[in-house]
Amino acid sequence: MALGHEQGRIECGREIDDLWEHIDLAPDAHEQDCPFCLAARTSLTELAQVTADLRSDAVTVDAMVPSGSVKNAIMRVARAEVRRGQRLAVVADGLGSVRISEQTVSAVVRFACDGVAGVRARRCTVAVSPPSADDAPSRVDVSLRMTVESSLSIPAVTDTVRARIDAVLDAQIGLRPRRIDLVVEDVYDV
Amino acid sequence: MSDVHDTPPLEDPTVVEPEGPESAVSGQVIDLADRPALMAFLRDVVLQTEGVARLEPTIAGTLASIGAAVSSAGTEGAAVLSPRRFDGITVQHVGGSLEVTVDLATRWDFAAVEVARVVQGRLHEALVEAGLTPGVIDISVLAVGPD
Repeated sequence: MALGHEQGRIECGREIDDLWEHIDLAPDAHEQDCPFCLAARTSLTELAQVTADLRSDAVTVDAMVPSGSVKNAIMRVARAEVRRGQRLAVVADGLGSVRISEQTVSAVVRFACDGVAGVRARRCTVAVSPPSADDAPSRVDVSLRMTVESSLSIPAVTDTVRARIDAVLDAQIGLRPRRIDLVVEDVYDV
Repeated sequence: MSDVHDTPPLEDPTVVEPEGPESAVSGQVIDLADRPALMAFLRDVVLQTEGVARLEPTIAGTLASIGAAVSSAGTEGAAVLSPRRFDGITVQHVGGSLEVTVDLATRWDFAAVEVARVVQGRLHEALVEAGLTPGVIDISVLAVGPD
């Protein structure tokens, strides 16, 4: 199958993905006369057959069925990946990008909150908005629920917590959140 | 919504100064065809960087490891894979250069983004010293915590 200089495009100009989408249907008028499309269809038809055979073998041939330990390892990693959430772009230059997981941002926020005397962090959520431009960092809104020692002034302590979260996120991750919403959902006696 | 003003002074987390590849990875010439050696070389560069707690496996890396094992040793290869093999480094050879993706965890007492930048720079230098052409090197910090 000959592909043109542009990745994924056949020499006649059609996208290889478009051809693949209807590989199980009869060729259209262009494809019937185009030597590039006909060659591509032949290759893709073989690929579709091989793929179907492999998918069938994967459930019927014992040697192709992964062991329980492999399945467990995959599921462990998959569950961890769900917990990590999205990755926020914080740096991108000629060397490459640096991204930070939502889970990491949440952990740093809770760490910052717990560093304030008389405050205990609870649930933290991080909402990520797409960057305004390709080379701009992701925009982040932080929401944190917490409990506060009963003797403390809530307005004063929330100001302290908010400032500390901002400072620690900047120092640890290089990220300045757009919003930091705090919810004091309980007070506790010492 | 509240704006953030007047950040109080805070003890800075440790900032890692970039330094060249050392010890096990210094001066080593890597043959691209020897993939296990290449992966071990890259892993050493990452793990020898101060502030890196560990590599973090991802589902894409795990499936790539299984695919590589099946290609080289059949399904028996996949069957004996241990989770330790599912490391957080993937490498792709693109147009004569090596594109590297690293997923890692950093330690609490280091600035995560600085550690990531140092890893990025050290990988670039190490690949050049090993006679290879580095491409884009993407680093993701997926967790922070103890070693």
